[in-house]
Parts: sequence; C-alpha cells; structure tokens
Amino acid sequence: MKIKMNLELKDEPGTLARAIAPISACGINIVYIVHDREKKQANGNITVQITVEAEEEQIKKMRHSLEENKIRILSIGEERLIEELTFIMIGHIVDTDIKDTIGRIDETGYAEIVDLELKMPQKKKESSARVTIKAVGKEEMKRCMKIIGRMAFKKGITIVYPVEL
Amino acid sequence: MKTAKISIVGFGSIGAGLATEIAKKKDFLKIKGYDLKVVTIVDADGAEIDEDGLNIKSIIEKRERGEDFSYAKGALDLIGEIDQDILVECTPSNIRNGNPGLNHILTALKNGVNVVTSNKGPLVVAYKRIMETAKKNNVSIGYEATVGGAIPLINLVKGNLRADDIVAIKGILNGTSNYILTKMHAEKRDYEEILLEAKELGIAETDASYDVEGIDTASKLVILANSLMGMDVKYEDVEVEGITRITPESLDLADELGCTIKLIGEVEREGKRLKVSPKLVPYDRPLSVGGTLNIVLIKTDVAGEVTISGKGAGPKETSSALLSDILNIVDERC
Ligand SMILES: NC(=O)c1ccc[n+]([C@@H]2O[C@H](COP(=O)([O-])OP(=O)(O)OC[C@H]3O[C@@H](n4cnc5c(N)ncnc54)[C@H](OP(=O)(O)O)[C@@H]3O)[C@@H](O)[C@H]2O)c1
Repeated sequence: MKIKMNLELKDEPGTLARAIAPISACGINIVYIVHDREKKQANGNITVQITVEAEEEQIKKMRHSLEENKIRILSIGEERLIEELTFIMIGHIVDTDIKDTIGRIDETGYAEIVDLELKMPQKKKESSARVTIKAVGKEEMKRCMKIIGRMAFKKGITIVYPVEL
Repeated sequence: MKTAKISIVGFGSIGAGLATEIAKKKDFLKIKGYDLKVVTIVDADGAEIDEDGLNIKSIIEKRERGEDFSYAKGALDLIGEIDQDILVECTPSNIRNGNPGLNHILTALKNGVNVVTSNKGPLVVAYKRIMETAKKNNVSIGYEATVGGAIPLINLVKGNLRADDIVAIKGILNGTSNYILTKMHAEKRDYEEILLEAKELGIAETDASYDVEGIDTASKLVILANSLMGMDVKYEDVEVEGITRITPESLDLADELGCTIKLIGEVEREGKRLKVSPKLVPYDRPLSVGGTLNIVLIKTDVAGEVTISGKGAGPKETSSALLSDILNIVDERC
C-alpha cells in the first residue's frame, strides 16, 4: 500500500539524507518526496512530505527506525487515489508510442493510469484512445495534466478533456 | 406611432432576410406602435434608395433575376446624403481589420446615425473604439446578432442580469460545427464525409474553416468577454482548437462514458482564460444540445448559473436579434 507521511526535520544540510536512510534501510520504496525549504514551522524546522510503497510490517519497522534516529513523524496515513480524470486522445498514438508517454504518469508516484482503451480506425487514419488517471489529490492531477499537455504538444496529439461544469 | 428610417448595408442572406422580415411583419409591428421604413439598401455593387420607404419584395425579385441595383453608390456615400435613423451593417465578417464593416460603423456613428450589426469583425477588432465613438456622438450600437443568432444573450445580460457580475461564460456558439459533431456521433461517419454533406445542404459555407477550426467561436468569445465581462481582450488571447481531428472512434469512446464531444467556447475572468476546444460533455447536461443549436451557460455572482439555448444562425432567426436591437433603439432614440 501507499503511505504518505510528514516528517519534521532540522533546516540544515544533510538532514533529508539522514531521514531517507532509515526508510531505505527497511527495504521500502520511496515514490515521491515534496521538500519545501521555504515553508518553515514556528521552531524553524522544516517539513518533508514522503510517500512510500510498503507492507504493514515494513512500516512498523520504519517508524521505529525513524524514532531511533530522532526524526519526528508529524502525520502518517494510507494514501488513496481519490481524484479521477478520464479524457480522450486523438492522433498517431501507436506510432508515437503512447505506452512510453503515459507510462510517465505511473512513474510520478502520485498518479496511475487505471484504464486505457484504444480504438483504431479501419482506414489508415488517426487512432483514438480513452485514458483514465487516478491521482492522490487535485494538485497532483493538475501536474499530470501538465505532463500530458507537454507530451500532446510534442507528439501532435489532440486531447479532449471533460467540460468543467 | 414611432417611425424609424433604416438603411441596410450588405444585402446577402442576413441583409435580405432582415428586409423580408420587416416587410412581412409590417402590420404586426404597426399594432405594436412601430413603423419601420427601409430607405436604402446597399450591396457590394450598388444601392437602392427611396426616402419614403423601398418596396422590399420588388427589390428581392430584382436580385433574383440577377439585375444590378439602380444607383452606383456605396454605404459611405449615403450616410451623409440620405436621412436615416439606423444603419444595419451586415457585410461579411473580417476579423483581421474589421473592414469594410468597421469603416461603415464608425462613419455612421460619427454622423449621428445609430447602428445595429450582425457583423462580428468590427467588434472583435475595435470594440472599445466603437463604444467610445457611439458615446461621444450620443448614438447607440446594437450587436445582439453577432453572437448566438436568435438567442437573446447580450440583451439578457445587459438588461435583466445587469445587477449581476458575470464571472464566466461557456457554451456552443457555432451551429455548423455542432451539426457536424452531432451527425458524426449519430451516424458513426468520418468528419470529411459529414462536412461535405453539410456543405451540400447549405449548413456549412463553401469555406467552412472559420466554423470548424474554432475561429468563429473564438471571435464570439472576444465580443462576450469585452462587452459583458468588462475584460479587455483581443482575438490573440484565445487558445483555439477546432473539431477537424475528431474521429468517429473518439465519439464512440465518449459514448461509452455517457458523453458526447462538443466544441466548447469558454471565458473565465479569473486568470483571463479564453479557450475554444472540443470537450467531453455528459448527455444529461444542457451543453449536450445537438444539431445546429447553440447554447450558452452564464455564470454570475448572484443568479448562479443561467442557461439559454436556441438557433444560432440563419437569416430568419438572426433577424429576430437584429429587430430586437432596432426596436430598442427606436424606443430610446426615435
Ligand atoms: N448567416 C448567418 O446565419 C449569420 C448569423 C449571424 C451573423 N452573421 C454575420 O452577418 C454578416 C452577413 O452574413 P451573411 O450570411 O448575410 O453573408 P453574405 O451572404 O456573404 O452577405 C454579405 C453581403 O455583403 C455584401 N458586401 C460585401 N462588401 C460590401 C460593401 N463594401 N458594401 C456593401 N455590401 C457589401 C456582399 O456582396 P457580394 O457578395 O457581392 O460581395 C454580400 O451580399 C456577416 O458578418 C456574418 O458573419 C451571419
């Protein structure tokens, strides 16, 4: 399962590496880190948001290990893909290797392609695909749309998004 | 009885359609207290003039016989020469420099003649200049017919919704592209085939690029943004994508979701966002109207959402909008 946590770190060089080490040591896969040094807490410490993919046992071990290393966990919980977006792509999707491009969404760690339906025309024309993405939040979905927008522009693909009502 | 002298500039489908409606509704309008006299009709090749009111039927018959107009005069010659209350401008839309319409409109306003127009070009290119000129010369300009054909959109917002702040407008503003998408969806046929058929049926013009590439919708968005939302935008501010790449397969994929694809124009004041693009629209939403229908959803701070739909083009339907502007001016100025 995907777990999102917020860790409190001192604002000094090397603290992020020191926080990551005990996590990796438990054999846990880190999928996503948001590190904003501008956002400080009242005590001058900074917060780092880390999303990991791990089993329950590994999480237990990790919590313990973080505590031992005096790294405070501000919050921790399962990350759910709550945002969903379905859109249609039109273009030479197969020639331009769609798998590679939308694969980039799966690599983000905060979103996944949950459905992909491809329809090819009989004649040698452009094909169409319907894609459904799930993401952990609205901000993350917006980032996905940016990735897709850049890809569509580069590969000459038209995207039909749902109308916002 | 209120009397108004009208001149029609541009005697194509809209100009002739308006003249026909004025003639047909003569008695009806008289009962309502209006006597509209068409005193000049100007086309690219000349003019017809009668200060007591032209016989519309015989002029249309003359045109049908392929005969030329009687006077070798243009709109600009006649503005100062013939006494007129309202000039109705229906020459072709030119969104590059607005002409010849812009020149006709500005000259009329400067000469104290009120203007009603169906021509988008001048308003897209020089909205501010036109409004300032009208104000300075203490005359009115009506442009209801430039957006949404018969739909009383501009007068609705400027009249009944005038206490509301319009924050967003979105909708289907082009009947030709809506017809093509609706047909493609229903008959699972290619874009090119349906476009050809629409041209044969006279629903699409020979050069349909303005319609299918989203240029017409984008021009209308510019007019709406500037006139109803207090924005100051140009055509170049609109992000435009048309319907030329929509495939029958994409409509199938949309259908499986309970949606269809529509060419939607949207303007949002926040972030100055103007966009024309094909969008997925669920069947159960008003924006899914089919055929050549247009629809507009207006988002305001007080009323919330107001949706209005109707025929977006056609000489008869557009005459309804032109006549409403004409009568408003007659009420106000004549
Ligand atoms: N058709 C619709 O349903 C619709 C709906 C809403 C708004 N509009 C707008 O209304 C306007 C008229 O549309 P339409 O469909 O009637 O177009 P149209 O059939 O092409 O008519 C335009 C007429 O204007 C004439 N013209 C051109 N230059 C002129 C000049 N300098 N002085 C006088 N007349 C001139 C043209 O003559 P020649 O043909 O001899 O050049 C033609 O007869 C356009 O701006 C259009 O965008 C149309």
